[in-house]
Amino acid sequence: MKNHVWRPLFVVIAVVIAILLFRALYVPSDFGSQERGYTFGYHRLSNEQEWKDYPAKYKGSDYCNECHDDKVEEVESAHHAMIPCENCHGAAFDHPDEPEKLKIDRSRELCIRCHARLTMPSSDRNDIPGIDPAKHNQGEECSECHNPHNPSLEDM
Amino acid sequence: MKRRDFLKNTAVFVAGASVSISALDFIDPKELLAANPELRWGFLVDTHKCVGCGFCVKACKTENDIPFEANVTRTWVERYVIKKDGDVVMDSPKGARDGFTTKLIDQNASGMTLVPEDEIAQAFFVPKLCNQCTTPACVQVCPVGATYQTADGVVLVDRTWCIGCGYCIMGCPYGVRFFHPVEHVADKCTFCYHRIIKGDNSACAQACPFNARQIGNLKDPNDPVAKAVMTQRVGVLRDEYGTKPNVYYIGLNKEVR
Amino acid sequence: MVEQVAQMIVHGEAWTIKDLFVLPNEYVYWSIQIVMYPYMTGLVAGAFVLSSLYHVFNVEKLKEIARYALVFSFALLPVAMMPLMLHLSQPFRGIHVLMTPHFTSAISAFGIVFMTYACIVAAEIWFVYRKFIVESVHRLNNKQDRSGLESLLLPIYKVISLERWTSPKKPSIPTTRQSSSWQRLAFRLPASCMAMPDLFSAQ
Repeated sequence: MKNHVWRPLFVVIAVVIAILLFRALYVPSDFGSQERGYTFGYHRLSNEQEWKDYPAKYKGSDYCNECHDDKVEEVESAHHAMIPCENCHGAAFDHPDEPEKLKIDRSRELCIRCHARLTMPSSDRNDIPGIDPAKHNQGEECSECHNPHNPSLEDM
Repeated sequence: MKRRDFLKNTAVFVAGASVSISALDFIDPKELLAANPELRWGFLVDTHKCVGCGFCVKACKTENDIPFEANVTRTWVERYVIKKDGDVVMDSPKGARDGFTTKLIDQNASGMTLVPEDEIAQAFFVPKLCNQCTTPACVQVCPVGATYQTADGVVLVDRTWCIGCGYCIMGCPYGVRFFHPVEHVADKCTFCYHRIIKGDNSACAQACPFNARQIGNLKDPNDPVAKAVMTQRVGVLRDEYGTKPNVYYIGLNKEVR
Repeated sequence: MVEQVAQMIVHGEAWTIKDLFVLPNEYVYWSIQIVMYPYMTGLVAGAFVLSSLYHVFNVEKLKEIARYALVFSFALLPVAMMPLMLHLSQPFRGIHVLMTPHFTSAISAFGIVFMTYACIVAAEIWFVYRKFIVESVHRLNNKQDRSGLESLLLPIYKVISLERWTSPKKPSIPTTRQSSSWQRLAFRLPASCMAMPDLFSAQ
């Protein structure tokens, strides 16, 4: 092959090798097609473990029961037994280490999520006893009159 | 010249054939089925039980560090009000992050609408989340391999590799993906993968007081979700897109988008 | 607790007007940048077509601008990449498209197409300008009083010409005595590769 063809060819090959070298250094070594094939499983394998190690915030009501069994018992006997503790008290995170005390949400906005009376005939929403937030003791906390753990007015 | 022609034609034929045959490698049916034969995450939503309290949305935002004040969410609830004359009015105020607390239906730029009670034929709530499709369109269109599907069916995003092009967000037929406002990469519901692989429930399913949401293993015949999907009348969203979603709905109307 | 929360504007929220019902995560993500990009690539491809009309199809009218159109096309290519890079949420990761392309996606396929096109245009510019570069090297070499710019250009031209300016008139097939050491190696290498099977077969 002639001299003047060799030189540009070498330049091209050198550029290709440079790109491949850069790629080998830049792209993580565990990058490739995994079990789902090239179309749906082309990724960096170590990322799966990173997602598995993501910290969880909610612990579930069984965790609350370990220390606060009196409150849990009070709630269990009433209609609000279905509501997980962390819905109203916030996520447990590392309670009792961090945070030491969980906030108690006493706002009206929390209660009217379920108890604002809406006309929803095809949904179980219609079965929930509700009020009109604009007319029913506007501006006051619901817990002034209703015990959230046992909201039945007769039991108060 | 005959040998030259023969060689040229052979080269052209082989090049053309290799292109079309290599397309078969992209979607190998054996790979799809054999990835994980024992475990395939699925979800069951009972729209009769959903009351639109929005605790699932609040729990998801807390659990997965989605900023509470940002108007993006991994899961949301839609309200459908179907009038007697056939009109459908629907809304999802802030993705039901604060629940549904008023009869006024939020129509965004068109303001709030009040549907009189005697005009309501049906009204219900539909929670939505990522369907973790069997052939996800979002994964197929990622240009760099940042989003992918695990062997047990959950679609995840590699936050260190995503370039933020937004193709997957546009490609999802269900509108489940969004740009994470802090991480500036694509994000979506992961079925709380970090919780379910440890045996816990996903944050939204645990927060729901009415058992409208359930997560389970579709390959396990004794799993309640698998049993419900096999025995009850369930439907899926937007079946016509061909993505094969794995979130099944009890009580799905034709009006539900 | 949830009444007054500050607003955090997400990507696309500022220029999206939602009306009636829109899914919560739906905003306009691909906006002005994606409009600019086809305009730029149109200019790039158009300039290339203009130059090809002369070089390939011998339209004599375009002789004067043919070379310049190639340079224009090549120079506009990074400009065409700019809107794409700016629209990414992670602009500095843009190179991932070339590092780990996922060919089921149109974007990655087009990244490779872009690179191929850039290489082709670069190569064509080199070929078209070769005579000019070699002549410039000779001209500047023989010039006694070179200005600052010219003394900068001279080594650049020498490198780009790949030392072809050394022997413009001599025959290009080197004899063993005249060729340099790396040319000798280059000739030996393919010959030795072809001889390898013979080495193995002669057991």
